[in-house]
Amino acid sequence: MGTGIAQICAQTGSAVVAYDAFPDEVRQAPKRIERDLKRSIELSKVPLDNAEESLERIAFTTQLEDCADSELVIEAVTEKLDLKIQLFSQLDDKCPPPAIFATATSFLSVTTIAAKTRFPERVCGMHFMNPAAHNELVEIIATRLTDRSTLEAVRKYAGEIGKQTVLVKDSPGFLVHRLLNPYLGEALRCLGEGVADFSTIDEIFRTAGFEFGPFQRMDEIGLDAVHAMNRSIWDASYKDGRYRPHPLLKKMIEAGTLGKKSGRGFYEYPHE
Amino acid sequence: MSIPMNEILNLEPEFYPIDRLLLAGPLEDVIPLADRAHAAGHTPALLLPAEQIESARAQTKHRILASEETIGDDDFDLVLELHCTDLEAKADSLYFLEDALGETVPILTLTMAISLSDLTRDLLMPERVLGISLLPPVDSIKLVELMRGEQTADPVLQTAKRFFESIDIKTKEVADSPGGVLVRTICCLINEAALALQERIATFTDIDTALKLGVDYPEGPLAWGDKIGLDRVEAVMDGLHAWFKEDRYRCTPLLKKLVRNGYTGVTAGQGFYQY
Repeated sequence: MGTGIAQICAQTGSAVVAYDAFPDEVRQAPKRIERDLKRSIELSKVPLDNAEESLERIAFTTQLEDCADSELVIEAVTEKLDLKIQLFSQLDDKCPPPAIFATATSFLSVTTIAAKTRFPERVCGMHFMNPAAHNELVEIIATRLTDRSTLEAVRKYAGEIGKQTVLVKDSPGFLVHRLLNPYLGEALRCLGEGVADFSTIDEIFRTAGFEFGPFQRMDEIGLDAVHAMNRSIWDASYKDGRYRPHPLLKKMIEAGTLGKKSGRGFYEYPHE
Repeated sequence: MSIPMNEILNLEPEFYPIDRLLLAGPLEDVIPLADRAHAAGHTPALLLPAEQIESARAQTKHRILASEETIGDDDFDLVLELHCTDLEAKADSLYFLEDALGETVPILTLTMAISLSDLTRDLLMPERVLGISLLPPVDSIKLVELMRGEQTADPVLQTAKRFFESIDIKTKEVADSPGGVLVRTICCLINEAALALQERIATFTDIDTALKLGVDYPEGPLAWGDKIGLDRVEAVMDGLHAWFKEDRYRCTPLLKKLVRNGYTGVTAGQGFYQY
């Protein structure tokens, strides 16, 4: 996720510092980005700079000091609350306000992260959809502590990197995951109850105008990720039955059939 | 004990005629289907709620029955019963149809807000009844889910398939369950979007934008609800809740409020959006 964000920011003219604590990641990142740059030039709706220039705009580093004086920090580390809080607290001094802190978390509480920083009014969420460089949407997540000016600035910047934004109050699942839940969840229930088999269900949705059926989509996202997403909404809502995950998903994860990435989910993916 | 349908209909399915149709239900659902059937060469007749007969005469040239008392004056090959939200009207309608129709006439009934098993419980010949679920608006339907009950006879299913294919609507067989797959899922989606709106998580345009861009939903959920009709969404949610007794099917208060105030969507001029 981090490389995709760095890439699209650089391609739209920003000077980017790409920080990762792990040297291996930092070594591999330029290659990964180079590979994706050309593809995004083809796909983008805003004019993008050529690959070489864009890549030159990114400084890769394992030193947090190199991030000093950044105007916008977009954090996309592993989805662990402690890690995110620790990173922002280390940056609190190095990047004083009016610098803005945005977390790219897809399911953690932005409010919890913000409240642990020294200036919570400058913290918000920027929820990029996968693949971050190409998907048009960014959810801007506002906490009770976020300043309006922070939201406006982030919205403006997201527009400059070619994203459409929606403003969402920090809440379980934000908008996209929360509303993916009934779609994927009811499809799972229909399968579990024997209303129809998964390929029939997918075909029904495709005929109704969906690009993919729900089971294709789950295989694509990864069943572990779908389950984690669903689980986090359920937990955050004090286990409201409305959001209860389906046991079928858990069984498939236990079996190691996680979707496309593991060669088998609801469908089989030979030689991938 | 009634005689099994497949014994009465001792014919191969392709020989069941599907020409003379009776379409019963509210005008806005009946007319588009009657138009499609007519275009495909069938002969539709309409059975409408009494208060809609007058305005229907101005809107359509299809034959309109004067009242349910006259059902028995005709021979019909196939009947579609399309009441959706008003379950009482639906039960009445099925009762009349069963009474007036010849024993071999299949009845296809919308089971979007109720299970077929509930609906046919008091009928004398549940064998001839098949549940169907289609996502409104009816004029743009591409697929219908066919729900066979525990007792539905095979020829009825085959007749239904042939009929929908003849008017260029695909069919998929699913088990008897309120709303089948598509209607159930889409209504749950709209219901959740209504809850997000009620909680003021985001504005309505942002809710719709997020789902159209972030996921591949063909419509934003709130605009979709307006097109389907919020009264129908509510009826489907209530049907699911009654059937499963699960919290996930609680109807969102905002949705109920809109419906109670007559803001049922595009056809009413106002739903989540104004038209």
